[in-house]
Amino acid sequence: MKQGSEIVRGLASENPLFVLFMGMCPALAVSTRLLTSLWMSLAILCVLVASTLFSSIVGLFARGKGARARWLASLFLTACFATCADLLLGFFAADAHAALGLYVPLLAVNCLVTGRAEMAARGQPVGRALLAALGAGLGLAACFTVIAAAREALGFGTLTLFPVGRFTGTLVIAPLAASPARAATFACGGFLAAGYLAALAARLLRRGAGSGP
Amino acid sequence: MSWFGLILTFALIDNVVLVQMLGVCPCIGAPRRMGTAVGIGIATAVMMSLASLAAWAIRTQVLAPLGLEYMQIVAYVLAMAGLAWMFEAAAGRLAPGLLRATGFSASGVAVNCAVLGVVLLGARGGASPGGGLGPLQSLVAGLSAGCGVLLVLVLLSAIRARLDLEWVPRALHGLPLSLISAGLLALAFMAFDRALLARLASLLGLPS
Amino acid sequence: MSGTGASVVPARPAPHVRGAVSAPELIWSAALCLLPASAWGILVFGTPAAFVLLASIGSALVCEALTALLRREFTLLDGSAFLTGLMVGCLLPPGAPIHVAAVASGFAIVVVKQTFGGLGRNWMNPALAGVVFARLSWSEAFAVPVSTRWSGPGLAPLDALAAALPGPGSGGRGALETLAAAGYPVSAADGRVVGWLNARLAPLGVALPPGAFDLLAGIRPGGIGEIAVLLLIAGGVFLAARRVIRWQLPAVHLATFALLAWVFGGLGAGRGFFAGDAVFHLLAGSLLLVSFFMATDPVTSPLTPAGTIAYGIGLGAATFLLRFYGSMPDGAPLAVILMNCTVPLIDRYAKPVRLAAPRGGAR
Repeated sequence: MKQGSEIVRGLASENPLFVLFMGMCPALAVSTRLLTSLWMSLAILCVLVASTLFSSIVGLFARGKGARARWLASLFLTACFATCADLLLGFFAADAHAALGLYVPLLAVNCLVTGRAEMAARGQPVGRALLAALGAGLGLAACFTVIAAAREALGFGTLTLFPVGRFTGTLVIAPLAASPARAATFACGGFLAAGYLAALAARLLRRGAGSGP
Repeated sequence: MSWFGLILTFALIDNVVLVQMLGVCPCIGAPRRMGTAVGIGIATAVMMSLASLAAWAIRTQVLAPLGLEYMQIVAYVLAMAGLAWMFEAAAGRLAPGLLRATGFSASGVAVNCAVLGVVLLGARGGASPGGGLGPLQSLVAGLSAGCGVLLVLVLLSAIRARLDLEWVPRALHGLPLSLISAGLLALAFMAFDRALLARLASLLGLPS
Repeated sequence: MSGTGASVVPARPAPHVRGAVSAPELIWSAALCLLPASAWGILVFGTPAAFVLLASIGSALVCEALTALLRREFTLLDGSAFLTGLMVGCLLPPGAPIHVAAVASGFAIVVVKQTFGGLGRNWMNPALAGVVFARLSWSEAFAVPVSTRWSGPGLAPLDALAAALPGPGSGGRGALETLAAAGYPVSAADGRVVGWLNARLAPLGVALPPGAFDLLAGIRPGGIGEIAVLLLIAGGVFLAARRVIRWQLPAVHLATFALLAWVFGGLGAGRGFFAGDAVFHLLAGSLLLVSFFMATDPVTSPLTPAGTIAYGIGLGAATFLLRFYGSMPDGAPLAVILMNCTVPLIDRYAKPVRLAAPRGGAR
């Protein structure tokens, strides 16, 4: 009877790392260049924060309206903001928009974004919802950047950043650029990079928490 | 694109999970029980085909005449939500035990990146001047993509059931190992590419 | 689960459900059977081949030692790292850069084998996955023209195979004739032997194409360990006789492939059905090497006889499809890792033989 709530609640209550990586998965396909992934992180962050904010506002007013209606509202809001992000990106950064393709519109159904939005719509206080969204978005951006840097360095031998002044934006790593491992830029490279990063993060979190064998 | 090319492209060459990296959530958290995996796969296939068809209808009958193409994402998402609701209601009436037995939530299956991804691909693909595939093509594309997801779900489910975690470092347990398995599966699936399709099509005398 | 055997099996995790076939003696005997073919490769190609083999074996040993150290173990003596490194080296062309060989081996050991728990726990063949990864990543390394000791430089190994595949322009010629027309080098010995044989066989109306002797003797550009077809067949037969590998798997694999190649292989060249050059395609490329030594890996192949037959047929079909129509001219490694993905599924539906599960009160 509870629609998205079950999976969402499950995701939210589970290992936060799991939630983070599940939200990141669709975007992994475009994490082949550092610059593209920075734009993607920005888009995710904006959509996440905006939809969480507005969902929690909606949640304040729609307290008694039923789970299905709240879910629909949060979904609608997320889709609107994903559309806005797509249009704005196309307007301000056409190259990035072309590189990101349909992965920005797909933020409309990103598990992390819709999960946070639905939780906010269920009545989470605005401030707390915002902080959680910000934290998730920044964490996601960090993981994303690491993966993209690794994939681009190994797969192309370069690191692409924003062009500033005379700096064209591309750092060439000579030994890697001479013989790059192109498979790092394919889907298998993305999955492997994400898998090992998730393992590293799990290890660090466990160390930090002091638990473990 | 011929039917042969359409089906092979959506099912294998541009496999939703292993090539486009969408719909990874249900696959990675893949249930070890094959029945659940098959259930989710079939539901995904049905959802993808219906959503593609609905998207075609919305795109050509509603958005294009009104000039509201930029609203397509919102429209598609709402359509998918509606489909999820109908699907859940229908399954609840016709096969009440089915939903419980397969243990999935229809909206989690319906409103996910994979379905929207296929819908958007269908909207951009095709040769019609208005952009996008025709109605029957959309239906078949969605069904093929869903079959691709079913295949991956079944393979990953069997692989996960076989994994022996006794000697795997603790940090790799669960999500990381699933992602790495998906990565190796993606490596193997690189066998399916457009060159293969082009050669097979020319062999069979079909346009690719 | 396999936990039932935990008290029975000593500290080294033996894949006891998969039986004792991964015991070190068997692994070392497989490596021994592969050494003649690799030695022939070094003889034919010279020092570059030796460096490639050293790099791949060395990298495999180092990676295995380091990752086993994380588990506080020393596993180099079981021979699997050496065998994986040797297999990776055998599949690479002699012109491959050292770092390609090293990374292919490292990928095989670390990502495909150790990540999943080490020997007996992986579900994809490490050596083949490493080589496919290298081929996708550094495709230019596989296209360097190679020369053998006894024939001049010619087409690069994979180009050669692609040139031999029936295409619209091959005009009904057999594979070897197509290669000869494309300028493929043949050795002087081949010229003499084939000429002598053709003179003898002329009354029967049979004419061997140029390059037939080279193919059989193992004097052609190719992967280091894959050219010595006779040595590979001998090694495979020896392993089957010693029960290290199951003979059914390569038999079904090669038979299915040969049948499909014969029936459908000539279609692309417009020769119609039943006109494919099955013998050439069996002997060319890495098919024999992969079929005898890698597809038969007991860890990544089905447990039951019925599953094995099904797997073999699937392998033959996949190899045919990818060899003749895929974009990688040598489809055998990719076909095997593709079928590896289906092995857990095959095993699930064919009841496995329980080899070491004590029942009831039996310890």
